Amino acid sequence: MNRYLKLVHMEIYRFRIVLLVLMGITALCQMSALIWMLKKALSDLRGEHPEAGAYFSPIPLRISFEWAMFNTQMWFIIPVLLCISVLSLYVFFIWYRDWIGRNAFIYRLLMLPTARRNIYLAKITALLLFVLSIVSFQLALLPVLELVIRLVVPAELRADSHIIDIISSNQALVELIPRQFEQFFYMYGAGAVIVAAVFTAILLERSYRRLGILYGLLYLSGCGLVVASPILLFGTNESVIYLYPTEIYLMLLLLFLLVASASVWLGMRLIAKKITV
Amino acid sequence: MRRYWFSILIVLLAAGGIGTYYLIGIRGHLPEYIIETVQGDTKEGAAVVLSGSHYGAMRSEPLDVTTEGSNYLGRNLHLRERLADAGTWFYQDLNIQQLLKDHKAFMRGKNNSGGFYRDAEMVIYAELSTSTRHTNAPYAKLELSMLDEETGKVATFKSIALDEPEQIYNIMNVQRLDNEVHILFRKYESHTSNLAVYAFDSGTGKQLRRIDLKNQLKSKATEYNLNLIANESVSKPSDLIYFTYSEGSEALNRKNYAYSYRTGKLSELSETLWGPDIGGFFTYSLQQDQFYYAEIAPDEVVLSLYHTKTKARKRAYATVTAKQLGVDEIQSAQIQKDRVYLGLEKAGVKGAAVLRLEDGKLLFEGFAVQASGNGQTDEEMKRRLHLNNLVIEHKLKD
Repeated sequence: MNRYLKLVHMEIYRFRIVLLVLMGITALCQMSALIWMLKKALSDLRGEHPEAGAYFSPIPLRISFEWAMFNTQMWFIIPVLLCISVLSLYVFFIWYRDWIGRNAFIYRLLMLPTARRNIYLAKITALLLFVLSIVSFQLALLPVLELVIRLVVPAELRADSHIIDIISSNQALVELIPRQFEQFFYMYGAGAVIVAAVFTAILLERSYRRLGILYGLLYLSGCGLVVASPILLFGTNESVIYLYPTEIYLMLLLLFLLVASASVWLGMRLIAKKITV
Repeated sequence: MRRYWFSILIVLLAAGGIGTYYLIGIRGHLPEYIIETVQGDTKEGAAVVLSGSHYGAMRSEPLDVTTEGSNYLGRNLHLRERLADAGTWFYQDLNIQQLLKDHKAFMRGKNNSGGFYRDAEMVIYAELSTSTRHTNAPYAKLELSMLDEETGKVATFKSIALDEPEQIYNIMNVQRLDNEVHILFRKYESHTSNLAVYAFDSGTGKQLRRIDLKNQLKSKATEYNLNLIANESVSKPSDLIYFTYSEGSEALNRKNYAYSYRTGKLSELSETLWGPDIGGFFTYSLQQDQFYYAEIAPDEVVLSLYHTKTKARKRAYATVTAKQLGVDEIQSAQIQKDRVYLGLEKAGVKGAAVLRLEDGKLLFEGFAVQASGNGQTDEEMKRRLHLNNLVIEHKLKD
């Protein structure tokens, strides 16, 4: 356990700069866009006629965070997309960076006096922590941005907004932060299963090199087929599905669990038995 | 420990931010509402759902309000609820709920509510299987499943070929007469829809005969609508079925027809089921041989009954006025089972009343009120809460 936690720490530490930069860009982008929008809206409210099409929705008599968020869509979406892109690339880079360079770091990692599965588990844990910490950072940033609104907009021109309404006003945030924790669990759980499957495909490639690329692609297709099997078996016509809604739900959970278990088991087996340096 | 501070911070941030949001942040987002009983028994209002929207500053949230509280539909946007909602309308039917309770294995994969029949001995399910592949095989084939309720034995006839299968569209009604199963199909012929009854041998599944209803219509109008008046107990035996008939796109010359499965005859009724002296809006419910109808006006609801077998009519056997209910307006009415459900409005607040169908006695009256208001005043509530639909959702008692 201790070794596993140390490996997790090591992975987090190696990514710390990127993580901090991503958070910084997000905060800077969103805060400056918000201040710019508020200043513009305030001057328009104070008598100057706003340009036609300057806002997605007309300026209300009292400005709310919900309205401001709705009218600064892109400046909130761009850093979110940037974070998603960087983390998606890092799913591959978290492994390949260990092989890159003259003195490949993977030699030292695999020689550590601990079970090799800890390397696999530490990488997947670290990646999940990166995703969750960026989501949390975005959530924590919202009250800070609300404070900015309080500082910029006078009380008589300001209306309160609930955090759910603020999130619902943004097309990216509403998808990333569902209203129900249960849906959050399904979404990010499915994401974790996909990461585990990709990790296994990467380890197949590392184990069998050129042939491993084919194995990896076949493995990912296999995982996709397993998850899509209900649609392939029953079709999209619900009248011929012989399962009740609860059974369909349980079947989906089981299929994802199956892919997750197979991926983790195969990934840990590959790193323990197949990968040689 | 000091060297791990960044990792600890990341873990705390990940858990703390998401945890705080879902535990505290999402609280108090929208005001909660409830239908508060003003008169009568709250249990009588259990099936009442006032459906509509709560208007926020920039968007509206769809919601249902019942005697138990409010349910914002946007809150349940998760996988489990979405899957459970897939067949909501089908599973809301009390007959279907009963069939599911009694014969869960038989009901598997059966979800065409018009295809069920049930009597004291048997449950029959008819389903069309249509092939979209371009082969010479007939487009539509019929599948008949028959369950003997006493023995639990299921007889299934698959791929029963139908004549003129390319015209068959859907199943409207299923009945059993002695050893025959009669099925009313809607068919499409040269851009118009017609109805046809096919009779099958319940022992072999073989088609015995076909009766095209259009051949028995007296009118020779080219453009007409012949629609089944659904019996409320769609899965209960009924030898006679009734239709509304109208001509042209403006639904002129409205009349009723009755079809007897036993004789195979379609006959025009001498007067409409709702009688000659009806005007304005009305709603109806056919319950076996009894045709109940309610005329709806803003100031009153008038209940009448026509017995289809004896031809006896009890015109205006009960009248309930808005004044009696203490409301400004009666906005809608629905007859279901042995109750009449009314949608009401009083000083801008929506409510509902439940009457006994037999005599119009008031059993329940209630209005939407705030259960927890988010600091919202009554005026704000009236401005934001728009409950425009009255929906009746029965649940099978355990």
